[in-house]
Amino acid sequence: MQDTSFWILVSLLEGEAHGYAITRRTAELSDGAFKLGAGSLYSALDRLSDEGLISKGRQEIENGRARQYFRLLKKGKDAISEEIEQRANVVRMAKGRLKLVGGVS
Amino acid sequence: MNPGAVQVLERRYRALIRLYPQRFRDKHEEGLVTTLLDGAKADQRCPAVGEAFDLMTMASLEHFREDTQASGLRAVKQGVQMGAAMLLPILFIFKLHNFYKLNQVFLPAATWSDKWNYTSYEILQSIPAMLAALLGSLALLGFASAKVSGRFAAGLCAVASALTLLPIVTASRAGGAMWLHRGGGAALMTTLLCLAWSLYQEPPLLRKRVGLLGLLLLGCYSWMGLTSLFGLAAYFAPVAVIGACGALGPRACVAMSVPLINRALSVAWMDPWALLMTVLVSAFVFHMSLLRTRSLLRTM
Repeated sequence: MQDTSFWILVSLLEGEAHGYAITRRTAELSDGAFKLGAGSLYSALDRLSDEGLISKGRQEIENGRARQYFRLLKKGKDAISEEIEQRANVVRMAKGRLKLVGGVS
Repeated sequence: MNPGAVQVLERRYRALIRLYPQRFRDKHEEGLVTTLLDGAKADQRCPAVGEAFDLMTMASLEHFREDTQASGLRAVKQGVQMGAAMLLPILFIFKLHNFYKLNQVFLPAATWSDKWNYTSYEILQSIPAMLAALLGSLALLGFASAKVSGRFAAGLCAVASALTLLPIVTASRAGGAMWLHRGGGAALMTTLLCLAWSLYQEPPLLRKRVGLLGLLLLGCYSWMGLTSLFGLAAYFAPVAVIGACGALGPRACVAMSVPLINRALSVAWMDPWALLMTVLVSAFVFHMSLLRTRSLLRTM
């Protein structure tokens, strides 16, 4: 899974959110390490909807502007759980290697 | 935030978003604009460089994704349009090169008299051809990058093709049988393109069949490498053009008529039809391999 998809799905675990909220959450969750541009965000959202991992939620009109919310679907939740598990395995393996050569982990 | 500044910024964001494919814009334009404006600084009037770059890159990737998702003939058509868009600027450069070479006839005295006849009206003929190639290139590049609508690009290409009719005037003034060869060929091709345009409106199945047949003949014609439109290959050429229009759509074919009509003046060291076919076939193969890879990845 690409990092963009990973961070979007992780941020949607907290509940449905609109585009800007997703970029904010992503920045917060990654301590500012992962910055998501609006263009990349919407391309990823489009792809994730096509794959059936997320769907469009409610739409709010604020100051005449449409705010489209996105929410995580069951398939998306499964996909992110699996991805987290995989990434954890990779980290575990790397830590093991580090110990092997006498590094601190 | 100053409302005037917001309006300016919004307009600029929307201009960038126009680079995306229509399908994507229908679904996400409003959300994207809102997100961009939410993230904008107070009194920001221009998209940040990073934002603009992100939008432009993602827009072209979306076009690409759309192409690979398209199925069958549509993918081929898009591939061919991409091919044609890539080809025209190349032809333009070669035309420019020819034009430049013609200027050099003033330098070597030995061949001067020989080439004088050639320049007197051939140089006049290459000016509209160059203009046509330039206009056609701009229209197709604009269309490919979603800057202009398909209808506008087709219109501009039609103007470009019509421009190549100008040699009728210049060549008939020069006298001789040349005007029949060049001007007649140009008139014939333009008439055929109009016919092909109406054929394009026909039901898809007929279009596909005629189109495939035409492409086959186009291939035969191009590799035969014959020079005259009124030679043996004349029988292939009309069918090929109509067929190609059916298969590829009017945009690609009107653009293709630019190198076709100016065949005799095009790339000197390489047959333009062969070059055209190479690009078209490469675009086709490229697209088919993309579609294949995609379906393979899906099944994995």
